[in-house]
Amino acid sequence: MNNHIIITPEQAELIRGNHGKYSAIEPVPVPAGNYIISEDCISDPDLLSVKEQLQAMKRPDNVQDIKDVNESEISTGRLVNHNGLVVCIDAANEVFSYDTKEQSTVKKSVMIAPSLMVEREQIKALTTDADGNIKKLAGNVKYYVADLTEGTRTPATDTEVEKLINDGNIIITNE
Amino acid sequence: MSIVPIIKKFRLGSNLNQPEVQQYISGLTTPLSSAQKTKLNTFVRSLKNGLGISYLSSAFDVMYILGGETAESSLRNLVKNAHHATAVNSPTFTALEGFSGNGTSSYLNSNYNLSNSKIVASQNSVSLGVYNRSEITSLSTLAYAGARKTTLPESVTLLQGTSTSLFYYPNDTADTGITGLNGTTQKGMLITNRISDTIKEAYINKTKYQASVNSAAIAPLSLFILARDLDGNPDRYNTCQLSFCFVGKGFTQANINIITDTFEAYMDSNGKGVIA
Repeated sequence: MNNHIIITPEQAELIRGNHGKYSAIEPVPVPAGNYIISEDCISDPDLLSVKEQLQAMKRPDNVQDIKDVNESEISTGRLVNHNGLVVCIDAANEVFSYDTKEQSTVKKSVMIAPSLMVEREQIKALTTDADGNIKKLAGNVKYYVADLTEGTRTPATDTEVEKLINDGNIIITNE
Repeated sequence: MSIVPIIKKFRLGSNLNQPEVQQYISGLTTPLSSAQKTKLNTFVRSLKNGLGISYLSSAFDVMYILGGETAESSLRNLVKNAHHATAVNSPTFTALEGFSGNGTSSYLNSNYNLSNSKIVASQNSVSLGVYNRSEITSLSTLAYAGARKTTLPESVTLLQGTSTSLFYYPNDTADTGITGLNGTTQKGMLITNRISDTIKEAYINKTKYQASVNSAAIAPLSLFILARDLDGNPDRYNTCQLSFCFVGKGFTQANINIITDTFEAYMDSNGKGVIA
């Protein structure tokens, strides 16, 4: 289990910093403006000075086991781990993460099938021409359909792309 | 005068004859056992004799025996009374084995700034090593230790891996990987090393790999362990269990062999060594 407690920005500020002799708590920002801290912090003997505060932040409904995503474990509304980032997938299958550089939640990609993901900006850049017109959709999209493992961007087959389009899993908007 | 007190005094002195160990154990809230102090003393003496140095600080800036007897001692820098590490978000500590992360939020901050804190490490003479006890199974890239600055001038000092590759950056920005590995071949001593401005090296349990890559400026960032310091923020959290981490000057193959063998002897003395 990799249980983490989801806390508010105000709670994060309360417990952020050095505690004990050689320990610290640095809440991790996640999509939707919240933060997470490891549930293990509560039982850490070097964090005894903030144990009561941490216990008070834990509720039955704000603890999640943050798992590495794989095909069978992706579900909407839950925080999951992907490529070392905590991300959240919404009902529209869009993947959000917190970008520490941007200091805000950003839309990372869109899930278009249980095991396939297209990076939103890549689709946008490579399926439109200089005038913004859609071009060669299937031909361009197929090379940017990736599986969920980092660095192994596998081109989808024509059949797979055709099925994705026919099933309505690829939708081009004016965003 | 009885001879017994003299013998006791001699024995006590012989246990603590390395100044680094004396400094290391002073001020600990939880004292170490005599057996552990002797093992640390043996490790330091053997390492210094092997490398031909009088003080660890002649060759190393920081050294953490993460697989120590207590979490408190394992976070202390053995080289000098500075840059003691901080356990962030409660990584798991197992006595005599080391720290492991949860892959989501926990890591160690060395509080050693690769650029501003360095004494013996430099752009063209640097080493970064870890001792890993775990099989790495992730296809995603996970950091063993290091930092990366992405704003120009970009700079990277880092060891990271996947289940099939080990990537090493001794002060350079080229994505050089040792491929064809599997999870178990990354168990043991992993070191990235540079002793020239044009050649980068990596060692996996003393086996050398190298590539022609020019050095780059050193990242003015803190060395993170079990994660990477990316422009001041942790990422690529690792779940591996690490028993050792150091940053030092660049070493020869003979020196690397001594560092690897000496630390493995320490781990074996506790029955925790993983190098075949």
